[in-house]
Amino acid sequence: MKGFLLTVPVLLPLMGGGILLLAKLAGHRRIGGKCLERVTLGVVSFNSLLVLLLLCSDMWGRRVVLFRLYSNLSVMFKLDLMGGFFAGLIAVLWPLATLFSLAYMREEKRKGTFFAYYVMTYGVTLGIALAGNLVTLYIFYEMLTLVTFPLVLFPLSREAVLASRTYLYYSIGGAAFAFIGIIFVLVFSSTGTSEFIAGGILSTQAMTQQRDMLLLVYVLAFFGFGVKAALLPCYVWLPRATVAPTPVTALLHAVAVVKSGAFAVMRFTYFSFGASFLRGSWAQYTVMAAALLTILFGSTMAVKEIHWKRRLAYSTVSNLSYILFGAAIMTPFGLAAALCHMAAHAFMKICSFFCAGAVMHQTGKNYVYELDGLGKRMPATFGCLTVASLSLMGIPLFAGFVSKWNLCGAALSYGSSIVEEGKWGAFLPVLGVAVILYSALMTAVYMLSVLVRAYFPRVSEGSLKTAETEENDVCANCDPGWEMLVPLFIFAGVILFMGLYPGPFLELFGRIGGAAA
Amino acid sequence: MEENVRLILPIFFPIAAGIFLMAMPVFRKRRKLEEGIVTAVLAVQLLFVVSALMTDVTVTLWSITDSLALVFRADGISCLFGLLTASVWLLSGIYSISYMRHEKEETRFFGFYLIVEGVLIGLDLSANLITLYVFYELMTLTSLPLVLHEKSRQAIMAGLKYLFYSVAGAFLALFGIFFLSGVTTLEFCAGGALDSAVLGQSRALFLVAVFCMLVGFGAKAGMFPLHGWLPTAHPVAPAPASAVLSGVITKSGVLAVIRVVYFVIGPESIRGTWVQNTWIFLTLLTVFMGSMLAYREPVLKKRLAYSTVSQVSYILFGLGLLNATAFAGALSHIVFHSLIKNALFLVAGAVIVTTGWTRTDEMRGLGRVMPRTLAWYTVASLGLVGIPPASGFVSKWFLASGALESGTGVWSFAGPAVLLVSALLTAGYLLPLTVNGYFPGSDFRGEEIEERQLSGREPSARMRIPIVIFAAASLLFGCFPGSLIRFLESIAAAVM
Amino acid sequence: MSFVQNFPFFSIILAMFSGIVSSVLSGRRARDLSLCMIGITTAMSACVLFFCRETGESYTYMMGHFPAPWGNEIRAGVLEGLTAVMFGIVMFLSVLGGMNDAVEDVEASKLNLFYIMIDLMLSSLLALVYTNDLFTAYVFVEINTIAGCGLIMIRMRGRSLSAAIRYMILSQLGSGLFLIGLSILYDITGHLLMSPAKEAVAAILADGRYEIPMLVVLAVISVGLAIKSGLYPFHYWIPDTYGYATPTASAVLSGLVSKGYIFLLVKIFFRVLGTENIIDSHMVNVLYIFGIAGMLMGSLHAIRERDTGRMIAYSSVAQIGYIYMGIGLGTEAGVIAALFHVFTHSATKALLFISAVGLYDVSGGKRNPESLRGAAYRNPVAGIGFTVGALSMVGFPMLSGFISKLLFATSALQSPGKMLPTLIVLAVSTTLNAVYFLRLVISVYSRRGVYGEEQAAQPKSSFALRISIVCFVVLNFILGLASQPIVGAIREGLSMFG
Repeated sequence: MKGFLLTVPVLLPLMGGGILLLAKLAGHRRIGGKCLERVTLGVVSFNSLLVLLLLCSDMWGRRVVLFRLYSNLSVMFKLDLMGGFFAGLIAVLWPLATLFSLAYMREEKRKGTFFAYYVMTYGVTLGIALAGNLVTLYIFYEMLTLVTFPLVLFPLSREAVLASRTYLYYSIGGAAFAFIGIIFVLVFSSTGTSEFIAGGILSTQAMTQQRDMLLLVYVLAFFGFGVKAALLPCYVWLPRATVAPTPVTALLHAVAVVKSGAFAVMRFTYFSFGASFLRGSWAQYTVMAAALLTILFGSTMAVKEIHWKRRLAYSTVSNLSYILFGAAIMTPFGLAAALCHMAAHAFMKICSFFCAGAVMHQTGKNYVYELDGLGKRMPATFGCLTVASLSLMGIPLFAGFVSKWNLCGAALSYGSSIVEEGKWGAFLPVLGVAVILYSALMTAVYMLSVLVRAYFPRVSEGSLKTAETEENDVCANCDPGWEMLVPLFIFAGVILFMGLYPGPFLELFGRIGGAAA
Repeated sequence: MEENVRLILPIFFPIAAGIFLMAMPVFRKRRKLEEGIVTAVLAVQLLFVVSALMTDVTVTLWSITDSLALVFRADGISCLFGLLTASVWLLSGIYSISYMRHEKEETRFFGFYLIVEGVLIGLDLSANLITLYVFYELMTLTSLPLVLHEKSRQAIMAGLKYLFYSVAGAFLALFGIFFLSGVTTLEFCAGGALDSAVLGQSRALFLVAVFCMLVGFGAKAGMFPLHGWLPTAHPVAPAPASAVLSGVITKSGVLAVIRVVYFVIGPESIRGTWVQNTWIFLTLLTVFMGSMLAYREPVLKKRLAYSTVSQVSYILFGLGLLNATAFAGALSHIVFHSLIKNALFLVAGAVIVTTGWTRTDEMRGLGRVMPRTLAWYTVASLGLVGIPPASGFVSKWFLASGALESGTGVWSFAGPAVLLVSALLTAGYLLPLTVNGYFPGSDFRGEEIEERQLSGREPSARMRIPIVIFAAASLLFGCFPGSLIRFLESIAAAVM
Repeated sequence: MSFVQNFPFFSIILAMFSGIVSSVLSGRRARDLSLCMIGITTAMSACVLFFCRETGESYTYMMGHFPAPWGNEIRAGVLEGLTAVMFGIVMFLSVLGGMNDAVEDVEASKLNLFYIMIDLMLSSLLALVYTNDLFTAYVFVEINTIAGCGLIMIRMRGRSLSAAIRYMILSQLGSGLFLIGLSILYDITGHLLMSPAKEAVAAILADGRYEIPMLVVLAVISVGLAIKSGLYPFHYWIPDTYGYATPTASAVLSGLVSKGYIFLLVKIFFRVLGTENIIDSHMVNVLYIFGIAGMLMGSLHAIRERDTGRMIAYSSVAQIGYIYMGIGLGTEAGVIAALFHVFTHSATKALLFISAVGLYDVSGGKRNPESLRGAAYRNPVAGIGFTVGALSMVGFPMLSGFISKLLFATSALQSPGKMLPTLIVLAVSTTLNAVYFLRLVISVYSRRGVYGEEQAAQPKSSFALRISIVCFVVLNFILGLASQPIVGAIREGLSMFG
């Protein structure tokens, strides 16, 4: 019975959001702004508290079946290390992001709808994290699409409509291909269900007889789940979805949605198919190559892009594929590195997006070339952005370096291990390291050019006067209010902390990886 | 405990001072106070550095993970670079106090000037490759504001170019670090700790990784193919910044190469491989190309920057030969080139401040404006050309003899030949300034000098004294190289 | 013999009689009678269903106790009962949801005629479901066609007339082919009752006689019923008929009528021709290929379509393709999946048509996506209904469509040759469904359109419509969440079928 506590964090936000929506339908046109904010923040922080308490309790390994959908398809939750890690990550990020978005959205109309879906998304993402089998994961994965698309649609502008369309098409299409994988896992499972078990659940008989078919299906499903993680042919929705309000883009498209995609890939790879089955197969090489191409592509496009949020979105495209690349290494170390980057990237990207959001909110500036000189007018915001940028680049002492170090280490050690075996794909991991470094360089280009602009605005030659007026402008500090700054500071602090003291995190990731592969 | 603090102090003291300087708005208004503080910090810092170099401890400042730790120690190479950095920084600092009266936003300049010194000392004292890499990146980032100080379009583009080349180089090197971390310890130990046996089948990859590190760290040292930033970035920075960029920061690339080749992988592991050959080829190409470009360049600071490209590759060439004599020569050239290039850049800065001239063809008759400064310029130039008894001769002698005894096939002859050609070119691009300065020719009327009453306008004492000291030091080292060379040979003996 | 066993016969007759009675009633009364009758027949079918589950076997009901060559038989089992219940529910909700529009679309004097057609339609559907006699089946196929034509035509506006004629012609072609098939079969076997006919067929095939005529029978019957149910490429009549009829008619036609034929086809396969013969003759492969083609082409047509009604109609083409693909897999699991999809599709498609009506109503009757913009804010219930329907079609988990997709996919794994194409086409088709359905969903939830202000004053859509939509949504969730007993019943029913 105690196991049902596991379902609470999933269902509570869903119900909370549902009530907000119903209240709106029932005609409470405006639940007073304050009231709405309190309810939202209350639900979210209470839920986070609950998740963290769960993680601290003795619930580990417990499983609970909510209901059965169809013979062996049950909606089941389970608390294992990997899911617990993801849930914890979300639980830390969500309240802070909510705080930020409350301030950000204060002037908007239709806040009620916005926060209803925002809260619901929280529950759904936790559902993905705590899902105990592939079917549950798939259900929440689809639901995630459903509850986030109204957020993308929120501005109701033409671009928003187009963006949400693209988002839906891609997500649902991706899920449709992932579905094929699920069917295969269900049918060829040795346990009869799709429950996640470290090391995979495919029956040995199927693995020998249907090997190539299973590998093909794995590739299909990888690309299917990869859609949410913006893998190469299907990345388009992510940059487009930046039309949504910044808190949405930040949280959903840099953290919840894309991370869910990556998380699903990891679950699928390590807990359903089993890394040992895939290791060294052509399927592994294919997905690895796809991830590498995406890294190349994403970081190059980010340099080309001049719309700030879209630039960050392309950066997400490339960084997400770091995670996928790590997952595709299919060794314990590889998974650990992927998880490490998942955590680090969550903080780095949400921090950078929130900085972009703060700038948009305070000054209404959207494009990189408009940012001249803002570094002095919004010192706190740009301070946090600096931390996030350096970390994204992978400068040592910041979180990004630790994860990059681990990724490359994992790739190289895997590479040298398959060189010994004489497999043809051995060059890929090494190439991967090169690609990651190239991408780091591009990251430097696209992040630092923003900073240089912001801190060192160009002065037109010989005009002392403009410098004077600028000097006056400098005094006008337009940093946002505490509700936006506190999350930013916390994120920047976490980045530094993870960069300087990653020991406990790495130990956790190592344990997850060790258990899974 | 006390020794630990002594070792760490020179790293953090200037950084803290720099941040303090920028964070306190009071200094913007009170210039004298600011200048006083800067001078005091630089002087005290020199003492701190000396005291740090006399310690004999290994300090682990912070372990990020088990394999990633920030560790510091002072060894021979640290002594060489640390002393050089601290003294050059003091002298250029004194010069810049006077120079920066002509520029805006000097608080930021001084702030970052101090911070960069701390970072460089950190680089010099680092005891493993990770620490070195950390400070290497930090150096790029903190020296960036010096480059784009003027914030003109040109300066910003140059700054970005500097940034991207450096970062590209650093990441190229990082590839090597990733690889090495898998096969050996990253701690520095003289002669390297790599056991070639563990490489096994990945030996080819190992060589690629080493080559990546050479090219990557070579970017900072202006080695072909990543030399492009140097002639763009140095001229746009304020003269004292160019001086330290050319004189010291390029040497940090050299430092990194020394650390990798002689302290991590060991010279034996690449001797005779394609890596060594390509490396030597690239350095010689850079030497020749840099001198050629300098010869064709009319803008003085840019000419000096090209000269740096060429001269730093002398050093890399010496390192690439992998033998003790050449190694000593390379180390000595580090010192000499640093002194000389600082002197030259500071002269160029003095000319700009006094007359506003940047192109060499404008500088005819410079001897009338600042005859004594030009004399010191000539002294320094002769050192760079390598005319005995000036210092450049000593290092080139060692380099050439090292090349001849290195047994690297064609390079042992081609090397000295290229050095000789380059020396001629060096003379060709540096000395005309002296000649035209003192002997402008019969058709030279000097109207401009008359009009602006420039005649005999020597720079102020604060600018002159550093120039004199640099130039004189280069001469002195040339005349009495004994103790320095003995010290360097002891280092060389340890790593070979 | 239990009293319940009479119910199939009663329900057919009851439906026919209420049609006859309606001819002297006013429109309103006829409607009430119709709803009443549908309710009662559904309840009776439910009794049959439970009876058969209880006894665990199907039973044959001889009309007037005349034995074989002369008599007429009804055969009821779990599957028949289930189908009848399902059809009844969908019919009831469609009539309920569309009744206000029927008043608008149909001339007042002809309103009772409309409900007569509905009654006849139900009667013929029930007959198709229950009958065990090939000729009776043919008769009711014709009645069905006539009722269908009536339903389409009765709107008497725009393209509905030409649509009705097109439907008429193609349907006649289909029934003609079916009739030819029957005749040949009768000629060869001498039986019209299904069970004896099957024995005769088995004997003939065992002897190896009449190979070609049997093949012709097989082909002609399949093709005839395929035309009538609108399998691609015989789908040309679908968009206009479904798209331009009055909503109840659209819902009933797309949700039920074509399903009646499919049910009949499955019945003939199992009860007369024998599944193994069908598989041997490779007829399943033909159906499979056309099914697959339909899945893709229907969706592609739908993507291009600007008129919402026609778009939903084209989606039917795709969904019929799913069903034929399931049959074409040639396994029991495939047929189960196909039959489950019959239920899914009738529940979902009717929901889509009915809730689309709710959206048109608040958009000035216009049906292009631009006019429908923001309609979901003006009529929230219809908006939610449409969204649920669309998501179910896309195969969103917890809705009925997901279970069908799941069943199709798992059954595909049992036929190795067809496994990969099926799975890939399923995935692609899901994506295509998402493209056109969700595009419309986004449209109805996007910025308030042209009809923003003045429509706010308009009366909201009727209570009946909302009730109907809510019930459909609930039905969809039931099919999605509690599918196991239903699939179990289908499996049980199928085993009683042969």
